[in-house]
Amino acid sequence: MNTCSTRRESVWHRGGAYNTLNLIYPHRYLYGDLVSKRAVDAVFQALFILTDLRFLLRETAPQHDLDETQRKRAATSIQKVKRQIAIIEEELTR
Amino acid sequence: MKCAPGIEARDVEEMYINIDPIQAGGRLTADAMKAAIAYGDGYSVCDNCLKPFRLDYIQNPPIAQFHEELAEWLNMDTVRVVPGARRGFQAVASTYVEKGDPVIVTSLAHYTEFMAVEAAGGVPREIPKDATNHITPDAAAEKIEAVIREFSRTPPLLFVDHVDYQYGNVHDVAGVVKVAHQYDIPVLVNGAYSVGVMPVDGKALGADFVVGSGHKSMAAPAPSGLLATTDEHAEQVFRTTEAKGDVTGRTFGMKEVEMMGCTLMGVTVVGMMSSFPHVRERVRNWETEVAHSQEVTEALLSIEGTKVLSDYPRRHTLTRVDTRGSFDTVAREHKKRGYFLSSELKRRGITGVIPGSTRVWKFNTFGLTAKQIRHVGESFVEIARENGLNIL
Repeated sequence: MNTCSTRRESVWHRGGAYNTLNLIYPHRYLYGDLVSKRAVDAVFQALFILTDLRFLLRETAPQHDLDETQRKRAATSIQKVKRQIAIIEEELTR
Repeated sequence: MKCAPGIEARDVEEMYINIDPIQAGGRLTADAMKAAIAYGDGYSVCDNCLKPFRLDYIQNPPIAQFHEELAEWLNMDTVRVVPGARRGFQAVASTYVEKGDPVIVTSLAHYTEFMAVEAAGGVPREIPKDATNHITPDAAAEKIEAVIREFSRTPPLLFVDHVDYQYGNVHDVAGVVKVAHQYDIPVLVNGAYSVGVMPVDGKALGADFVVGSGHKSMAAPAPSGLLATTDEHAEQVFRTTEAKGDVTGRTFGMKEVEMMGCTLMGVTVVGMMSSFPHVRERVRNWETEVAHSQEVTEALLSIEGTKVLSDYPRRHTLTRVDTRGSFDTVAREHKKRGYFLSSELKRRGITGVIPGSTRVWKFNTFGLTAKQIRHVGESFVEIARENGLNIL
């Protein structure tokens, strides 16, 4: 038996209620507009870009003496993170 | 900095060059680290698990496709991911070994091979290594004959390590397999130090089983690994359950007994998958990795009194050295005793040599950049010079 699949179906068919499988946005029906997909994506994106920076630190350990290309990579990543942070700020704090 | 109450964040790889012998090939790729962020929750790959409810059938994330690609990459017929190489050994031993059966391993075998044999009720018998720390086909033949004489039956299984963990030597696996097959003994090739770091062709080796380690050599989170086999053996080792509950009458579909159903249900399998394109690529650069290993080994050999116990020139990135005639002579007089070496290395941003080791120890240079390799080699020489050792 697959527990994941069983759990999903039991929620969607609770008490013989409306079968949300027929809906295009079942999450919106069940939970309303509480979730900002844009904010979630921005959080993930920021974490991924920071991971790239983390790997730049690994690649250049122990001195972290970055060459020109690596400095450019770092600068690009930092700019990208800032953009994602701005989205998160916009979505979650304004 | 703590990542959770009482748990320090691990920044070893960011702060140091890590030459730990077992950690090098398992360092995650950036993609695997991102996957770990996204798939850290327990049963995270089960969101889209549909009938027949088995890991290797999941299409999203593309786990089914990953299994096919793994088999093709290793030139084997079928693959399953397992929680570490040891679970691969265990699955095969449990399938083929009966209580009291002799099972052939080698004198360089990893302890988990012994454990797998023991768990199945088997009796391990070791092929001796030769003077150059190699397992030869002739030695395998002699041992097989001796074991048949001792037990009056043919061993049901032989384990051989493609690259052993003690010396990092590459063994004549194809030759050993050829001998074993003359006695109809199936062979499990332990690829924990080869699959994922260097090219491995299961069919070319003649292997009945190839076992790999995700966390040792495939840039994957622990515990992860793979068990690959041929069509001839797949039905036995991956047999499906026939169990039925006597009260409930329940049956359990096509869950595989030796896999205990599903194996890697979250971050481990997705980590393996995310690293796989990079792993495929990096094995093509194996010669560069070996050259890096050689460079550091040469630096160590330039220190008078140092010996290399592994094959030389190097054919692998895992190397065993004997510094009793060099760094250990310093340790005898140094106020930090044997800890001076790891301490001096750490001061230069290098870690992974067991603190206190100045006699016989191992290191692994896999995955380091050319600049890092140079720094490691120069650091060894510099430490030697500063402590009064002769540089040849």
